[in-house]
Amino acid sequence: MTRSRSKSIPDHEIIIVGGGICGAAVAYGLAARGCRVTLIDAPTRTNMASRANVGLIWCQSKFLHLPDYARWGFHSARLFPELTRELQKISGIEIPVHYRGGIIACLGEGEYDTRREYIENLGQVLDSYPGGMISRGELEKKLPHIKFGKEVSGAAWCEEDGIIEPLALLRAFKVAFSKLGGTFIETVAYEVQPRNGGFLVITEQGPLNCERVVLAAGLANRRLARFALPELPVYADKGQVLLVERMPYVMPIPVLGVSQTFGGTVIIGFRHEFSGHDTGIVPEDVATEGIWATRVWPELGKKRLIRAWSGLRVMPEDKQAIYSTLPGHPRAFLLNTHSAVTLAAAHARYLPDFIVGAGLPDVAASMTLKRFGYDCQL
Amino acid sequence: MENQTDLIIIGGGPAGLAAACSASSCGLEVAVVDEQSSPGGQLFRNIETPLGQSLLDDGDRQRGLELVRNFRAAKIKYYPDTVVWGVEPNRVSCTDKDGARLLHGACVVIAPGAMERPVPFPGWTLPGVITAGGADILLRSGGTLTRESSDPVVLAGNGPLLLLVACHLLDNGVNIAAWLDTGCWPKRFAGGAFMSWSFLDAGYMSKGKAMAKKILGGKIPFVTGVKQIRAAGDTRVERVVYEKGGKRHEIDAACLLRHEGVIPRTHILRSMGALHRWDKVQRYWYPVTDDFGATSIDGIYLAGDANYVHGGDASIIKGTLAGIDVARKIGVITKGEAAFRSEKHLKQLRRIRIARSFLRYMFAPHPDIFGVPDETIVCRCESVTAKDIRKIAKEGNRDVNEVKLHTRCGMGPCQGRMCGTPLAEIVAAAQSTTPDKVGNLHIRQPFRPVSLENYCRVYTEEPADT
Amino acid sequence: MKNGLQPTVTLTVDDKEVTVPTGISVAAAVLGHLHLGCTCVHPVDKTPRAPYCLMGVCFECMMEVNGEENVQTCLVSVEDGMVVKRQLKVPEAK
Repeated sequence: MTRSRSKSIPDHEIIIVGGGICGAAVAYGLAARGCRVTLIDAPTRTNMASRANVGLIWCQSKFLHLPDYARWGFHSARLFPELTRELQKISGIEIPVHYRGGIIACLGEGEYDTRREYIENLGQVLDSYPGGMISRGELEKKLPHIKFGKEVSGAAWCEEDGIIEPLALLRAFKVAFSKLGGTFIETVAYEVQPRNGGFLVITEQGPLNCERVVLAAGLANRRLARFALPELPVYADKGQVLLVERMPYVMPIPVLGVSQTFGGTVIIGFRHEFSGHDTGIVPEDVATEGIWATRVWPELGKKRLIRAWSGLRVMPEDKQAIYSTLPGHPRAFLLNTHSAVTLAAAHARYLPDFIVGAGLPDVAASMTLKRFGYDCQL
Repeated sequence: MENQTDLIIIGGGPAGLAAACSASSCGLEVAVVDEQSSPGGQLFRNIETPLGQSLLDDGDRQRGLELVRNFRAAKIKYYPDTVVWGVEPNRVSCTDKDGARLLHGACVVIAPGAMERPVPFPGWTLPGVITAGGADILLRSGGTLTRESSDPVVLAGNGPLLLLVACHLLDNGVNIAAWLDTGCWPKRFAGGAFMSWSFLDAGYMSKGKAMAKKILGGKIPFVTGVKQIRAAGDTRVERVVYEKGGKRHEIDAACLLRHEGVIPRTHILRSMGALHRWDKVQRYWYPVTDDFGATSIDGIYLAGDANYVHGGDASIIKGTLAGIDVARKIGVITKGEAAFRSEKHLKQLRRIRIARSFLRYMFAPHPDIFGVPDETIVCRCESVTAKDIRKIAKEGNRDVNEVKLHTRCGMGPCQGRMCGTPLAEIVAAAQSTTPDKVGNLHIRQPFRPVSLENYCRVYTEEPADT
Repeated sequence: MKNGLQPTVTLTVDDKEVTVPTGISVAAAVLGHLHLGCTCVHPVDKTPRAPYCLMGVCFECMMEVNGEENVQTCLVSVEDGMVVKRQLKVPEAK
């Protein structure tokens, strides 16, 4: 770095640490508002959540205990068509996406009834809920080219769900960000230090200083936020998935836990395990997922498995996203969510305003670190 | 338990068979799993049949027959026609005609051998374009490369297998229209400096000389300094186009063989996270092992050319050493006995290593061979071009795994076996660095496809007691 | 057969019977004995492909063997009565 540095003018206005889907969405949104943004990212083995993702835009049948968070998801899903149109136009990258709803298949009457009850309760809490239970016959009409297993009793259905090619979304965010004047540096961030009212981000390639810093580094936020936060209640939630070979494309509406990608391969997986940063594949574990998938869609059994992999979701303790300033550092921001795809449209639209000082929208106003007992300024 | 043994060996080639024989002669219970239907590997493929013997020289034939005889005579559990798709310490997962099975063993020797360095070029996906090793397999299967022996065959590249295949083609009366040499002459001269050591391995050298003599006698048009090879044709290769001295040349071909040297097959060990090292002359990754083939993972050994390419006779020695050391590790023989049994083999292996050091330079790949035109398909499985890769690399993605995610290069069924090498070379070139600085593709198990139901069954059912 | 001592097997490739030496792979039979050139059409770019390495690396030799699709035929030995079909059509999305 040959540029001369003056103490009063930092090299970077805003540095975003972490270029997964969350960080890239916010970087894009900030660049679109004309901010001078630097995005730094270099995934380590345990920080690949955005790269090990199915790409579901998923709102249904979750967060009965967190109605605002459920609403926030639905709101984001509704913003998606506009976001992808805009992103494709700026980046020139085609983003495969379907907004045709989503399905949770039920095996047997018991699963069906449990699911129905949950959805009824959710409908009451949310006032309006764009979905419900469908019979096996209705399910077959929605996905006419899939022969469901005989145990499939019906499904939960929501018209506002969808599926997007997550890597195309990520790349489109990054390319659009660059085209809007953003700077991308592929490097690892070691540490963040408060310095002269701004921040010094120590990276593999040397120190970078900035006025505002945004930590969007997933699990790595736990160490990067240490300068302000003794403990960040965010945990690694391991998922192990199986990838089945390319088949003719028959699933424009994704089925939770056994989803066909736009390329035709099928990703199977639904496990949640809290086992530290372990990313090992346990064949006995993934095999149980495979057996479940063949009960839903028996044709998969004869298809070839081409690999298994695992990824670590970034799971806040109460399962709800965290958007917050850091205690004592009103210009340092922390973003953590395990629904970075679903929430990408909301993140790109609202979080940039939050980072330049405008606060959070009402529905997300409670999602700061305050709920964990930290004193942080909005 | 039926499927519990001391040592599981993956691969029935020279190294695997030798490891099995030596471990068995130390008193171990051994199982060998192999993809082929009979023992021999690539070098001694089908050696128990007249066809398999016919193309081997006397020395190799004798060595191979003796090895296979010893293997058959020993009480070794043998699983032919079996594809291994998972390896963990103490456990090997595989499939044969009857379905999937798990084998359990205290130690595992992995002996998958070597493969030809995959080098993409325009038209390399056309039918009629094959590797030199692939061509040799066709010949050793009693087949021919082209319908008529008068159809022109073109050889291209640089490496020891081209010599061997050329001899076999001449023996079969094939019309070799040209030999397009892409070798790196400065490195060849450097290799010459090491050649004086080759007296340590006279047999090997005389074999090389005999091949060279035969090829010179065959009067094959030999073109050096060849660049930018491409295969052209509509539904199969019809012509080979290349550049020499800045000029474009064209030659008719019914079959094009490309060979750019041999690299270790590292997929299994990389899927397990074993330590590897980069060879900057040969431009390949090889697993770090001790003299006996012990890898960085406890209980996992590697034998043969998958360790570092030294050739078939060296593979037999490496296999033998691995078998002895496994017996020592399990405690069947003492350290002293292991030293006694291995002393001669260790000496021989060191001799070969020194004697063949010139080959490392002689057949060093020319770095230019990866400077392929943008339209070249690099990833055959997913049809990803050099242009796609360069574009993503220039967007600031320095790690091959990032490039893979955004291009799908390496995401197909071969899991980067074919495109991993050129991907790293192309990304490195785009970043003005070397391939060892751009990461290594993550390899996942199962490293070969297995049906979902077989996979699920084998891990969830109780082992059948038969 | 060039070598009289070599035992043979007979298999069917695309409805055509062919006799080849035992112990060889299906891919070698189709490529080296039948000279059928293309063995499959690529599922992504729909171009004709053929076995490239013949030793289990390239996955370009996928054919249907005894009713099972996408078999890596360079790793399967020929057998008497085996039914092999080249995969010349890409299954279309429904």
